[in-house]
Amino acid sequence: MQTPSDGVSTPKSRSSARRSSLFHSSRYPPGTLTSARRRSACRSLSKRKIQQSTTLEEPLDPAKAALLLQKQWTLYSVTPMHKFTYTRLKEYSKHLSAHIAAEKQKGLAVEVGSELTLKATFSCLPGLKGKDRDPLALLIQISSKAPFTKAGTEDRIVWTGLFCGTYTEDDILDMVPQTFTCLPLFLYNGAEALTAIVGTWFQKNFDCCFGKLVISSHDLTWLAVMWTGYEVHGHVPATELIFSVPVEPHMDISYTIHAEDFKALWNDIHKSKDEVTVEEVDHLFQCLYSHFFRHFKIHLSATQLVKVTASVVSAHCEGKVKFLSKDYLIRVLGFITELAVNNIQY
Amino acid sequence: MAPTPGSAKKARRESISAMDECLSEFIKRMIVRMPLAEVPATLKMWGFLAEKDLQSLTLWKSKEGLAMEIVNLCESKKATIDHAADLDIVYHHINSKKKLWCVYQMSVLSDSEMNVTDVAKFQAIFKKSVYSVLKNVTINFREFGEALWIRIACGKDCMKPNQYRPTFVVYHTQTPYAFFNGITSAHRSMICQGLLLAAGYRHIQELDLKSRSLESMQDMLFKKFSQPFQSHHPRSLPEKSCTPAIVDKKVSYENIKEKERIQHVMHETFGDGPLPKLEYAAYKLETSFNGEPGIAEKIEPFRCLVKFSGPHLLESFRTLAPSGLAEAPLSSLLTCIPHRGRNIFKITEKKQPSNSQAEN
Repeated sequence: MQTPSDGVSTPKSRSSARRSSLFHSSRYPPGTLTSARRRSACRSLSKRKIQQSTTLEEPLDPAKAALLLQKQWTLYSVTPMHKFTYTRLKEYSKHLSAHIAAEKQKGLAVEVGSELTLKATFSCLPGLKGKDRDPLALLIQISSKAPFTKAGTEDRIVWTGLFCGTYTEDDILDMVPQTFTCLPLFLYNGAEALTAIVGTWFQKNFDCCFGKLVISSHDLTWLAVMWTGYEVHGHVPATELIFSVPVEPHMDISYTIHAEDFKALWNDIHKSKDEVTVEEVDHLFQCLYSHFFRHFKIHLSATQLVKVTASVVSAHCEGKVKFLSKDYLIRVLGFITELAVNNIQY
Repeated sequence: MAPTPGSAKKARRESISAMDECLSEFIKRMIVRMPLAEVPATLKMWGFLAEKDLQSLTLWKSKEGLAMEIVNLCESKKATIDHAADLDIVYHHINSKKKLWCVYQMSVLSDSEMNVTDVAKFQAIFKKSVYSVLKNVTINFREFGEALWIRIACGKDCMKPNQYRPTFVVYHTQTPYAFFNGITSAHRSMICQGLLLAAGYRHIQELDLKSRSLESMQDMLFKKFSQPFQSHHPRSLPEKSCTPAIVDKKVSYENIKEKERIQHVMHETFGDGPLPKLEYAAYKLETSFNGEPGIAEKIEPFRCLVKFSGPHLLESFRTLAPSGLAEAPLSSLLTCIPHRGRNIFKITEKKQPSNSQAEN
């Protein structure tokens, strides 16, 4: 749970500080999106719409969905990309592969395995759109090939990155000039060293900058409320909340609520079918806290909610998520895209 | 030593030639698993290799090389599976904190004239009992003070015993308690039966206590730690806790009084001494919700599971109220852990006393 700002400068925190500084500076005109973003941020804080699953032209291919499920993803927000075009993906694949090879020559990525040839592949994931206007999601896979393997052996995927903008607010899309592509959410799974290489490449070529996306305790409460009580593989999993208690020695409290009971409690609190309000979310948590207090005399409100595992998604405050259900993937991505948009500092 | 499928006959026939290779591999893997710094002390405690052999080993810098050298020494001394199992016991004794232990309590002494302090007799009866159920099993014992460590490795069906997944039982001969690690449901009744016969008891049951620290479990069960819990006579507090180090003049008198009260209560509850080390406590709650009118009235009971985890839970509990995170006195659900010797609870409402466990 240590962050670089905690004071103790471990080698890891130093290197991540260096990496994040690489992600800075952008040609993107400051202030352009501020007004639109502020409007959407204000709206999203008081209430959120329950997105109804829409039937789009291209549904998510199960094989592609499997790429995203049951993996831990680390989240970043990304500013709009300058002069990115979907027609040049092949060229980008070659260019990024060459860039990775060059970086490896410099010895920056020894940890990834220097004897392996790494190949980057760009592709589109049309199935990740929430609505027609959404930008097309971009998938990057880095695969490794051992030098003397037989032809026909499958390359092993060592790193996956995904840029998307599911349910991006139309206001935001309207504000972005024609030469920019708006894919505000970036997720990756794989070695951090490769993420740094890919990040600098994007920054250099499309002048965008990356910011670590942390999920606040309050956003985690929204997540718990909005994504609980759904059926996954024939049953409805319980909801687990993990609280970090600031005592010495450190202690965690895990509070797992039976899915039916959580849902029944929520149904008593929740009024409208189309939206969820901040008052309702807070009310539900107040109820859970007082039930806990009645037994343990501990104020959970004074601790920090650090992780939520709802039926279709699990998320950690450090900006790590796992998608647990294909059926709700798009809607959860929409929620996280919204967090990413609010995280971008223009 | 990975068991290969095949009949018992085949296994026995192969055992003469394959045994050595499996045994070497088993010893090698054990050494590789140990932290390099721990190897000399572990080998010394094992006591199989001679002192001069041990001295020659200190020169090795890589674990692989060291492991091969130890395997060579063992081969020249004709080590058997019993020697290797003994080394495994020593390793697990030193690293007992890496495992999660559960505990069984035996009760009702049987009529037999068994002298439970006779460890040799205990071992013989235990072995006989287990062998009567299962043939492909190795059983090894080693005493550490009052604790008798038993290592049991079983084979599935007709395969050779799997030395990589042994069960450990730590039995304190003067007590009715046995601590288990790595027990499988398939062998539970066999091992429990052996224990009952050998120790001279009739009943055995698992307690609601799990921990990585054998010492703390023993402290709680054997009531070795100082226990201020039953004290009803307020004692005067030590001088240091009455006067806070920094006195802020703006802090009102009421605040100081409240702080003193909390400190007093926490002292009453936990005392000053060290507390047993527990990493884990779990509560299954099935209680009514008691919310506001109209909220969750139909949910009865409200089902949830609460788990506390940390490196030293009871110490963390001690600092909860002074940090303002909990009311003082703390809930008896938390404070009852050390003197009730359990950390797994099921809580139901009092109105059904038949199955209520603890809402105390």
